[in-house]
Amino acid sequence: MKRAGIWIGALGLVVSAVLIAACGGGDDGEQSAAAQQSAEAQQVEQVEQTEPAQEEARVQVIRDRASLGSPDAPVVIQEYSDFL
Amino acid sequence: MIDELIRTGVARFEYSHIINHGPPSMLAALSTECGGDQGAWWDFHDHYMSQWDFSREGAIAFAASLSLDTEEFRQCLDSEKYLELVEGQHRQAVANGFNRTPTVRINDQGGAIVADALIGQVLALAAELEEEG
Repeated sequence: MKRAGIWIGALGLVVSAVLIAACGGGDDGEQSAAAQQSAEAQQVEQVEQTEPAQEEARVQVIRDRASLGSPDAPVVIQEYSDFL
Repeated sequence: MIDELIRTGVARFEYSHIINHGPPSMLAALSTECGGDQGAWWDFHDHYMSQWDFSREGAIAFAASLSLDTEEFRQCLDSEKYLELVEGQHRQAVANGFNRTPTVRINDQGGAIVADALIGQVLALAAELEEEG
């Protein structure tokens, strides 16, 4: 009878351990999903930040090729013209 | 002399399109920008400043004469890749009241069209800025 009590107690401990582990695993899953969402949000934010910068750089390249001389030159001559 | 001022870092030259003569003007502007994609912006600029063929075929023939990738050039031209850029420059120029072509500005002030007068303005402004430190 005493031995049966010990077995029941041990079984209870095992069940408790399994339940605690399961609960802990759930937290890990939620944390993992949250971390993934956060990383994705950061990526979107980075894209939103870099796209205007990339567009600005592209426009600058196009502007530069229609220019001559140093960007630091003190005098800037701008010509607005038609080829005809 | 202007070249010298640019080469020595005294002045910078920037070109913007104005479209005052409809489709031929637009074709020349688009061709120049498409040429720019292959490093030939100034070749097209000089070409259009010195002759009067403003046809699509003429532009493609000139691209071929420069040994550019004519298929890439043709696609750029036919897709009007730089239409927004050219129209934007034109709109901005008109909004600033620059209807006459060419309009020259020096540090956002009125500039001379005649070369000697322009050089004089640039030199005077450069000296003034140097004095101001």
